[in-house]
Amino acid sequence: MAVVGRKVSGITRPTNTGGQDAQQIISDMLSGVDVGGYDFSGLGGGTTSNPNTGVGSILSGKAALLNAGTNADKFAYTQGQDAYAQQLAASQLEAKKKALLGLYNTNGGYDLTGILNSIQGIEDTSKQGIEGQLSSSLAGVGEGYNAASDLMNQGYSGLDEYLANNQKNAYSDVTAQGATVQNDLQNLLQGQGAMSPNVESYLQSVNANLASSQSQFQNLLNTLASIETSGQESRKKEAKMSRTSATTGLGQQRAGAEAQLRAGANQALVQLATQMAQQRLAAEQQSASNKASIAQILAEAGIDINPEKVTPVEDNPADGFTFDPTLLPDFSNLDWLGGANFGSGFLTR
Amino acid sequence: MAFDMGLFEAQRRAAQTSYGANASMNAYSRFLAEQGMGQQKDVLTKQYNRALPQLMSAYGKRNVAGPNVQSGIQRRGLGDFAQQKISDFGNLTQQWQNANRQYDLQGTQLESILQQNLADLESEKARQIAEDARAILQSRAGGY
Repeated sequence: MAVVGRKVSGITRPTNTGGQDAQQIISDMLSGVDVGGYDFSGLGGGTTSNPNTGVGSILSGKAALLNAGTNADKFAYTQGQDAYAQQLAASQLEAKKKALLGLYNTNGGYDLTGILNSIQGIEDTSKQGIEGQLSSSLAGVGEGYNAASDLMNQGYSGLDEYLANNQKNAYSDVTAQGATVQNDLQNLLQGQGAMSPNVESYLQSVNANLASSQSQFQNLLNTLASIETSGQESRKKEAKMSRTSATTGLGQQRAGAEAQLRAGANQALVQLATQMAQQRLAAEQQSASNKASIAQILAEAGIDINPEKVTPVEDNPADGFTFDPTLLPDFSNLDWLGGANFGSGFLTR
Repeated sequence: MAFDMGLFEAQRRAAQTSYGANASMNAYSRFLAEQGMGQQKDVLTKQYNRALPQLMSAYGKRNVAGPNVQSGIQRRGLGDFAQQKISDFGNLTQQWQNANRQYDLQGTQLESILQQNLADLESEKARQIAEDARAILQSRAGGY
C-alpha cells in the first residue's frame, strides 16, 4: 500500500497524502487489485457498502466514482491512525512487560545472594573475632595462672625450707639435772660408833626423793618435747595441706575463669548465629515479598507469573526495545533490608 | 592484706626482742636464785659446823662422851644430828633443784614460744603470698 509516514519505534505512521492515494486506490480497483476489503463492485451504477459502517449508498456515474475515492482515502488514513495507535500501545505494553519481567527475574534489583554473602561475611568475621578474643583471654588467664602458681610455690617453698632448717625442739635440748646429798659426818659417826642403819637408810631415802623429782621433771620434759614434735609435724602437714589446697584453689580458679570465658564466647556465638539467622530470614522474606509484589503487578498486567515460564528479558536495542524506567512502578521506597544496616556497598550492582 | 616483707621482718624482730628480754630476765632470775641457794647452803653449812663441836662438848660435860667413852646417848644424839643435817641439806637441795628446773622450764618455754611465733610468721607469710597469688590470677581472669 502506498502509504508514506514517519517511523516511530519501528511503526510507520500513515500521513494524509490526499488525492494521490485515492487515485492509486481507484486505479487498483479498476485493474482488479484488492484494496483491502472494500467492495467496489457497484461502481458501475450499483451499490457501494462501507465495511465499517455497513451503510450503503447508491451512486451513479463519475460522481459515485469520485465519492468512493474520497471515502477510501479517508478510511485508509483512519485505518493507518488506528494501526499506529494499536502498534504504539502494543509496543508500550510489550516494553512494560519486558521491563516487569526483567524486574521480576532480577527481583527488583534485590541481590539476595549478595546480601546473604555479606551476612555470611559478617558472621565469619564476628566469629573469628569472638574466637580470637577467647583465645587471647585464655592465654591471659594461663599467664596469670603461671605467675600466681610460681609466686605461691615460692611462698610455700620458703615455709618448707624454714620448717626443715630452723625449727628446733626446745624441750629435747633440755635434760633434768639431779643432785644427791652426801653424809659428810659418816667418818665421825663411824668413829663414835654412831653410824646406825637408820642414818644410812634415811640418806638413801632423801637421795631417792631427789632422784624421783629428777625423773619426774625429765618425764615432763619428754612429754613437752613430744607435744612440741607433734606440733611441728602438724605444722609441716598443715603447710603441705595449705600448699595443696592453694594449688587446687588456683587450678579451680583457672578452670572457673576459663569456663566462664568459654561460656561467654559460646553465648556470643549463639547470639551471633541467632542474629545472623534473623538477618538471613529477613532478607529472604524481603526477597520473597519483593518477588510477590512484582508477580502481583505482572498478574494484574495479564502477564504469566509462573516463574517456570518466565524467561529472562534483556535489553535488545536491535528489536527497538529500550528499557524505560519511567514505565516501571516505583520501588525506590521499598525497605529491601528490613531495617538492617550493613553499611554501604551491599546493593551496588 | 597483701604481703609486706617489711611488716614480717618487724614482727620477727619484735618476737626475737621479746624473747631476748624474757630469756635474759629468766636467766638473771635463775642466777639470783642459785646465788641465794648457795648462800643458804653456806649458812646452813656454817650452822652445822658450829653446832657439831657444841654438841660434842655438851656430851663431854655430861660425862657421856670423851676419850674412850662412848655412850648410847651420844651415839643416838650424833645419829639424830646427822639425820637432821641430811634432811636440811636434802630439803635445800630439793628447793634448789625445783627453782632451777622452774627457770629451765620457763626458758625452754620461751624458746619454744619463739620458735612457734617465728613458724607462725612464716606460715602467715606463705598464706599471704598464696592469697596474693590468688588475687593476681583473679585480676587476670577478671579483666576479660
